[in-house]
Amino acid sequence: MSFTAFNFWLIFPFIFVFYWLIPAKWNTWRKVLLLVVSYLLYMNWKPVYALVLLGVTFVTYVGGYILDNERIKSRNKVGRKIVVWLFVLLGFTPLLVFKYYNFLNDNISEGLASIGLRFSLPGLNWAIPVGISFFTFQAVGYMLDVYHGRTKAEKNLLDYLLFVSFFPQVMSGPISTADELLPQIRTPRSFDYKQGKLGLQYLLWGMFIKLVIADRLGLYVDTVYANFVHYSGSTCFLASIFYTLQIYCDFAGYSFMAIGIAKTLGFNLINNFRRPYLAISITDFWRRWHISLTRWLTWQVYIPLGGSRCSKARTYLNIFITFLVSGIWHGANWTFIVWGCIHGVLQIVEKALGWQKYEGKSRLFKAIRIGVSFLLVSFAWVFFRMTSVRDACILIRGIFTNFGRPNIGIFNGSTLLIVLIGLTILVFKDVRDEFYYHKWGFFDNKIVKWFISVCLFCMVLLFGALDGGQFIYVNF
Amino acid sequence: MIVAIIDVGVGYVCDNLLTHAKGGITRQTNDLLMVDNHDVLILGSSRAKHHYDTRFLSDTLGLDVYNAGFDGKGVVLAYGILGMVLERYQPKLIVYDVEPSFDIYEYAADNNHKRYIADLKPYYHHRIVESIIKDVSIEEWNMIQLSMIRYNTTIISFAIDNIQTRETFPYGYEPLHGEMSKQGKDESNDSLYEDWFKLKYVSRLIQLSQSNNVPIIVCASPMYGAQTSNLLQPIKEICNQYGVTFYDNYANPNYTSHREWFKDKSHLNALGAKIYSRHIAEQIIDTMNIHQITNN
Repeated sequence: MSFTAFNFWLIFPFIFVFYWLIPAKWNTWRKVLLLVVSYLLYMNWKPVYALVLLGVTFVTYVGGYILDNERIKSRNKVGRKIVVWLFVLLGFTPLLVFKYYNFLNDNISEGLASIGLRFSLPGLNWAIPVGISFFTFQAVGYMLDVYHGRTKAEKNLLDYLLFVSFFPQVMSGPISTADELLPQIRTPRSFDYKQGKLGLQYLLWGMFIKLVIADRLGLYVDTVYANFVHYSGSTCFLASIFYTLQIYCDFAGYSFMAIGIAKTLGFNLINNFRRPYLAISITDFWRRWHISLTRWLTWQVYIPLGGSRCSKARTYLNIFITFLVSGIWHGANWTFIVWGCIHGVLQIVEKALGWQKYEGKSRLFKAIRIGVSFLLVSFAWVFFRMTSVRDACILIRGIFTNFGRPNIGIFNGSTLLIVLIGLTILVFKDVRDEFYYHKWGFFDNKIVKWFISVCLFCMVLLFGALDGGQFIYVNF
Repeated sequence: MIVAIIDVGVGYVCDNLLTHAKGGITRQTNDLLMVDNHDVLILGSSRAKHHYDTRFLSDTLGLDVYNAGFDGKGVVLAYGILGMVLERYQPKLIVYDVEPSFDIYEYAADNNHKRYIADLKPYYHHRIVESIIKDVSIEEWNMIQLSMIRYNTTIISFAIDNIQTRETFPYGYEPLHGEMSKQGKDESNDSLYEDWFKLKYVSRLIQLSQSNNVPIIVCASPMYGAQTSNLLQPIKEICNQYGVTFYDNYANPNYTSHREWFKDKSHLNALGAKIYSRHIAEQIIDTMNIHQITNN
């Protein structure tokens, strides 16, 4: 069930109250409650897909258990490697089948057809289980952490079931590590007013940027991208910039809501976003965007490949492979692969030229770098958004060749005003948090904070797109 | 508590803004639903709004014709409009223009039909509107009990329409100017699934009209490049069932290859609308008893 669904907000107060009504000494019952709620909410989509969630959980639980077994540990390295590969493959099987089977089947069939061989397997017409990429990566990540000795295997099945299915994060992350979440699941806690208040603030901000900004921008983006051949290059460019902002507000909005909900229940999840569009390079962007996935890829792909502790050429290859995996993770389409490759290549170029960091004091130069990084990221998002690489290329070519006025009229007056107000608030907050955090103390005043919170809440109700828009990243 | 007080305030202000609007779409919609009496109502989507030149139709038919087509909306809203209008008076003729995405088939952006009830929310206290909203979604009905949600987004246009008199198009018809440049991709009809909910409302619209002794005709205006009108078969069957006249110009070859009459694939431009309106007026005169309609 989506966090923006009205029904969720009817149910959540009951979850909150029942959870905190259970005394801390009966922590097991609290965990049972959260587990039942997590599975019920997950089953709200397609009940049968809870079996996939359960299957991935059991495979990785058993995998972790075996890999942490002293007898297996004491075996030779190759034997242990075979065991871990076997369980990784088993853990990834549902993801591979549901998400990549059709893509592989189609591409292999086309490849064979091009050399005159006609062979194809029947396609699968199944919906992809919601959040499969997220919970699979979290569960497999846990198992690999056990294998590398970064964490101990979790023996308590209840704790582990909750670790994989915890409802605030199961559908779109953040992808937590065992070290982060399992100790919090184990430890009984009492309600912390400060943490709860902070959680509500995260929740409100997430709702605001998702419902007031992302879903409104989405109206423009969807209209233009659906018929991009009919629009001028400047309109397509504007739609691309809007998509850049939309996907941030959509995904970060979800993450902030997930973090907020978890905080109200006493859990701290990793912050997935740190003002990514104020990055001064693409490398910097990836330290701020989808931080939990970047961390996963760094630990489970980049470092095992050798990381940066090898030759320059090998390091560049490692970066490229890591971002190729990132592209593939996002979806079974060449557009995602091209998107991943663009980010990989841009980072390699930055590394080769030493442009990842800027420690100078020139504000102008910093602003230019932020602007250039933003445009490069926006360019890559075009591939991410389009349904085919060919369409993305046509749209990009149109931006540079089909001049004309940008069509603002796609928005009606109200929507344009809402978007402008929303974006102004977003830019103001992010710029303040990035550059003036300890300044402008006026905004830290208690009354001002309450006033802002009430205003944001009313704006969500008055200006938010409340008609059930889905989160973009839920599809991944 | 603070939010509850704000909500009551917003409800009071918006109710007043709605009824005192000086112009714009707020005034236009409110007048259509609550004030004006027109002889003929054109109902439907943007294809209705941009295809029926009301001034021309009024002159030709000798009746007061109003175009109540709404961009991106379909039969669910049309049923609500007719129901509310019938609470006040009886029009002499209803013309319903069909749009396959909004009236027959499932459509990705339908959002469980919620997109079709947005304009009705401020009138939620009318029994017919209540029944439609509850039919679309009980959840939606519960949500709109909060004024801030009921007037979500519309509050801005309400406010603007109270401050200045925004120009609107007389009698609802909004001409589109310019010619279509590129055709775009032809969409496949393979994955179209009939939407029983929309078809139910097509039947209800006809029943509502007939039970109030208001003649209704159903039209399908031209679509650029359409080869056949097989897509409209479910509507044809409903029209047959209720004995309603159906003017099918969807794939009329006199229109479908004239790029210069189209603004885009789905919409006629002003010139195309003029030609089509003349055509539809002739069809109405040929098949309906205009004298009887006029004297009703």
